[in-house]
Amino acid sequence: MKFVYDLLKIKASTPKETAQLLTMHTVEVDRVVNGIVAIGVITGKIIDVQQHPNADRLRVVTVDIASGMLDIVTGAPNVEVGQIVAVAPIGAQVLSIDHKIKSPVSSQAQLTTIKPSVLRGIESPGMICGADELGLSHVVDSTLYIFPNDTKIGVPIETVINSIGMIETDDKGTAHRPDLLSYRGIESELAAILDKPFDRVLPVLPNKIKNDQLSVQIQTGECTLLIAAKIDNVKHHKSPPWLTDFLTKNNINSVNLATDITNYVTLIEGHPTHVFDAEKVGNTLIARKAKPSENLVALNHKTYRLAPSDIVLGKHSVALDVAGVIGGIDSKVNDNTTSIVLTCAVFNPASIRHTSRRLGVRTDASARFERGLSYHSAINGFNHCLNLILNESGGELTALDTKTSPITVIPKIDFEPNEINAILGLSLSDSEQISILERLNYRMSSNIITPPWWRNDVLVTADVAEDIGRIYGYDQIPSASTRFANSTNGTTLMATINDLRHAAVRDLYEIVTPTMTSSVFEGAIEIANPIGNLRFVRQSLVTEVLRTAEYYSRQGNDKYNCFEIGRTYRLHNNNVIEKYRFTACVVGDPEIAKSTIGNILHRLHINTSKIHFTACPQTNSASVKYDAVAHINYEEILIGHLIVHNIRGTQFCVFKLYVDKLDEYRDHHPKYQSYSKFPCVNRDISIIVNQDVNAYDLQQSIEQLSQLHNLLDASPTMTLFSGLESISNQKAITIHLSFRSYERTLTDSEVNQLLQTIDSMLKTNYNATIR
Amino acid sequence: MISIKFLNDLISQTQSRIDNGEDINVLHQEILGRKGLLAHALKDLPKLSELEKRTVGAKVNQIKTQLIKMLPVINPEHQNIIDLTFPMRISPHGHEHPIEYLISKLYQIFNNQGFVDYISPEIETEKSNFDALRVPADHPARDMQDTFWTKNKMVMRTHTTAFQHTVLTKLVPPFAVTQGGKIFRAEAEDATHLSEFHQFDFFAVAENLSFKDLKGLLMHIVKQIIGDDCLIRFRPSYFPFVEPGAELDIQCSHCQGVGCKSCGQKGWIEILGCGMTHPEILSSHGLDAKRYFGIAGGIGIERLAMAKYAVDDIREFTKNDPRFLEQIV
Repeated sequence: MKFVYDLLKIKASTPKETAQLLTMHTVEVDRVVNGIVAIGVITGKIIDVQQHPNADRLRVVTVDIASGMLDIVTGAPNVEVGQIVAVAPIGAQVLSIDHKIKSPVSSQAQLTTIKPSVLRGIESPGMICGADELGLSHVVDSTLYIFPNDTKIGVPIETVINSIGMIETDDKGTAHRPDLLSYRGIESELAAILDKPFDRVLPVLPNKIKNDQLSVQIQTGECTLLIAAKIDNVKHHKSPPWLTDFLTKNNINSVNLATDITNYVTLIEGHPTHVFDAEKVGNTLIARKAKPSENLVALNHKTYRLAPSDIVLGKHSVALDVAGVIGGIDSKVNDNTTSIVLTCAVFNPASIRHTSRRLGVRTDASARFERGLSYHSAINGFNHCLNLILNESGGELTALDTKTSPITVIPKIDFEPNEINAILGLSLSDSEQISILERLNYRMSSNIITPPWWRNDVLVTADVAEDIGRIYGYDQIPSASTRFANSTNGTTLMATINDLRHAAVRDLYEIVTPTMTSSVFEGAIEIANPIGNLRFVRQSLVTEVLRTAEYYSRQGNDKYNCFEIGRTYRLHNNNVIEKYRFTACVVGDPEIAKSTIGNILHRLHINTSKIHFTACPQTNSASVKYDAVAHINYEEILIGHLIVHNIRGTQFCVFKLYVDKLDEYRDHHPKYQSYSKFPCVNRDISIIVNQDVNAYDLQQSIEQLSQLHNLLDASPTMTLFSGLESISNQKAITIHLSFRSYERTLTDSEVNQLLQTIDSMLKTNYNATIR
Repeated sequence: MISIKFLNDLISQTQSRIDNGEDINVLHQEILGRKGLLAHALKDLPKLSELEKRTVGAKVNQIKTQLIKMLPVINPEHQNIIDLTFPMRISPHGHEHPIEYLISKLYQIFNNQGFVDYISPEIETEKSNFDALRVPADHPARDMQDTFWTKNKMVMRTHTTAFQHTVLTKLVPPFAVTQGGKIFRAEAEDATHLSEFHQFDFFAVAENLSFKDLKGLLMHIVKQIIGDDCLIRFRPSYFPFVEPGAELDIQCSHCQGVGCKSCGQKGWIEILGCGMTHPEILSSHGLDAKRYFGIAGGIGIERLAMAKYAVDDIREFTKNDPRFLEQIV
């Protein structure tokens, strides 16, 4: 809500300082406008502009300030004859501007008094002001402040500039406190912070004035208080200047006296009231549920179709007002109205919010009602309104009726100073606590505390503790260094995810892609209120990782290899199944992708000799046809997939790994193992075998040769040359072997013998041709 | 038969092996050597007719010339020429995403303070996300968070705080747990808003925990993350699940507190909301709220990252542009 600084009865010395106090003790201030800071500046019209004889950049300007003419020396380049400008004569005070920084206004305001001065030999009895010197640099983006042509000259600028000090609070922070959406509410907070006296009289329900012309009825449990008064013989419809001035400053248009008063009271007291043309109300004002398909033309000229969940005020037959949200146009007060009905109520906040959102109407009234206005606040608002209307309209009160279902009492809370200290971590004495509570208008009797009647958010000791803590100052509460104890241990999964990230970022860019997607699949979870076509929750990261890799590869990034660790979802028997997935994309040769996989798994302490790839036929139903897909297996367990996809001549290798499987098969507690101190002998065997020979089988067969027992230093790796298939359905493979013994240096003949063993095994088992 | 396709593939495969850093001399031997792959592929050449030889031969020669150019036999004398004055090449690979980096760093820092990770789902029940946290239907606090609902009446969690309900159901105090990850809000995207972003929550329940412990913890965490010299502001705020409630702001690093576009002219950037767990939340989960106290808070990761790295548009975090990623972590 916006508060005009001048209209606050209790405040600090500047809008900025006031905003600072509210932010640190009550509610965050989103915006502060300082308003005109300069003092004694008047308007003047430029009559003549002459070049300064001794300075290229200066001009001598003759200004008419009504009481006379001034010849002022100015550096402003854009002065022109006929402009009406802000003139600071001798004795006026303006903001001093450091033109190098050019932004002093929002920080500490420093005023300088204008003195007679001589500029390059010419005396200047004042200055022509820029917006920043007036304190208005946030309003106009021009150095020279120029007024409209019809502006009166020789008058203080405050009277012609509509820029006033303003504080705008953050409405998010007041979801529990409707009282902060009012001048009185903010003033009571400022009074507590500044330790100034402030009180509001406890409102009492006005006496009924029995008259068969007006009675009230409550026909729904959603309304707990309804008050209405009839004022006859209304004479005046025009608002007095103090009222229109208040509303103008708060950006509200004056409508007519009665309506203006309700708007004024909403802002001042924080409780909306409503006035009807009494003729339209009839004898009984009813609060009831709307009937099915009941319509109302509202004050904004729109027709709303009401639902039985909405509360309305009106007659049995006709709804006159959507309760707590917006009034009807038909029953509004106009300049010919002689009798008005003033009404005020308390509604179930959830119901008001529901209606307001359903109709898409947010008003000053609904914003307050949905925060939960109280019984006392209603009576207070009503009384204030009624008094003003009677005083200003010349009308007379002829009927007043009230209905209330259980009277809300102000909660009484046990005063528990020890618990308050325990919550805050302070050791305030009882009297220190009481003193703060009294500043906030709490009342104490024996060990019971009663919050002020306008604070229906205070219900338990924790609420009281917050009030004490924030007025004492969160900044003043000391910090403790605590080590936190646990009855539980973390899971290994988070550690695995963390290690996986660190293993992968050595080679790949880490990326984050959206969870909501446009691609549908079997078992997809669908968003009920999507933005655009992002209607589903992803089941796989493959699409987005591939898309990202492709996009940035096309952007000229030579090798944009990336990965993401994220969660995927699908529905299974109406249960949401959530999985962590690792998905990466490597551009180029699949062998590079496979070595990346190997590196990552190796860093996670997964035994890579147990990893093998098996070709995976693609189902015809797959939406995207990939060039090749393989299963990644740990022994016989599937732990992921490798996909090769060719897009416009570039090969993209995508691999995904099931994080839960990695967590299961990794060695969480790796231990040192001693290693051979003897040298290693490397040999290659190049063979040609049939296309259908499985490389993993070859590898396994070699490793299982008994003669090689304990003599292979690592699992054999292989290089494949494809393309021979067009010759004879064959492929050329080079097998890289490294031999090492734990006990001795291997001799050449020993190694040659081993190679022969392998050769003959390959010939026998795989019909291999040795090259 | 001689396969031209095989020969063409041989060139591309050789190139990728060179790119992989394999030894040129070894490759030369393997491909161009007497028993090399090229010789093997061309073993049928003599069988061709003269006419075939002329057409195929020209192609073969061209490929052979190319391979020789790719695999020059390096003269051992020339190998000794070393020039260290060439500009360095920086490998572009392997950068952490700033968001995941910060989450992982927060886990670490909180872990050092005794917190453990508690994984909880991103798709939650309405009860976990709202009702158990004192945010009933049609409560204005739900306005703070425009919610994505799934068709099976689940909630795309609007805050990581949603894990509190599960934690209170499964764990017995004392405990201190954290949860970081994606959250969702049905909002239009702009320079300061995303519909998918990240949060990191902490939650501890024990006897003798107070606002003082909360403040101390957060001062420590923020200084660890942002740096010792950052200016911190701790001010009252409202969240239905805490009482007293607070928000922590750090001074905007773009404008040093003067006010700019990034901080909405405030000079400060809100990075986390926190407070003492509302006693009703403890008691509604069967804990004695006079004996146990909870501290809780949620850190907005994108906001934190924007403040820490002076990023002025939140959408940068969704683009995954290498020029962005390489600048940060």
